[in-house]
Amino acid sequence: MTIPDQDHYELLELPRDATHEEVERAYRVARATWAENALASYSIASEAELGSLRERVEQAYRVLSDADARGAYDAALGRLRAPASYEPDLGLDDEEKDGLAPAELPAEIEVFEDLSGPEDGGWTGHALRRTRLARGLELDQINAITKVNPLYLRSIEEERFDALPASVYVRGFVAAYARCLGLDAGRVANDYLERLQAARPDRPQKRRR
Amino acid sequence: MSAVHEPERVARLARAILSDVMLYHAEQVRQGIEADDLFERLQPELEEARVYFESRVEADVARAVNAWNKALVDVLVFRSRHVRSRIW
Repeated sequence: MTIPDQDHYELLELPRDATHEEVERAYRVARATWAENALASYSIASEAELGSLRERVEQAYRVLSDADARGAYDAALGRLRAPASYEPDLGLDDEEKDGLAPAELPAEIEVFEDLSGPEDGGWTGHALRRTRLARGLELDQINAITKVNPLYLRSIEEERFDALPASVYVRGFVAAYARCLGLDAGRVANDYLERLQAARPDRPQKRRR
Repeated sequence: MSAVHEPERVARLARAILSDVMLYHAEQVRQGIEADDLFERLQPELEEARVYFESRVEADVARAVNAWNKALVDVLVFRSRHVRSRIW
């Protein structure tokens, strides 16, 4: 088992804006998962690999739990690559992105006639979750198809707007999620973004260099 | 809203609903497995989930394929097999 190219956030399964409490919690979970006597670790990795993994968990925690070290790490990470799960910048505006043909859905994802529609006032996180369940889909399956971080998917459903990245990314995530459910991605994304922007004044956009 | 009646979809719905219970109550599930009191500890959540499930499916089909109970084991118990417990 190898964990190639995972950064500290990915290793601990954390969003980039995770709070200190979330870091603490994720560290405890990771440490317990990969502990020497944990059942989960027996069949999937050698002792040497587990040792290396434990070291990486400790290192990730040391960096992410220290504000200064984390700031420097984030800056370095930003120079290296775009944040995990973010859509690549194709130079398209939002309308063009929404107009892209949806990816072909796996056979097990059906477009059901019984679409659990949005609530009054448009598509909400709750309505998305309800629709997902109506289709018998687990959040992990949505993650497997869309590649959107499951923590973000959950934050979308729970409308934990503060835990979500900038609107431009959220729009992409929500559109991908909606397509996965066989919904009108543009409409769902527009409805959701309206709610997000009403609840959270967006962060200033960084200028492209 | 028509009830789900295909056995495969009924089973899938049960798994999806219980997967959400696991996701949204991960710590309680872990503690329940650890202490072997999962169903007592999560009684309100599981009851709410079961009511939702039953509102969506043909009761006869669900009963015939034992979808809910199978999903309880497949999702809540089997996926918690890494938790130390006297259950295993």
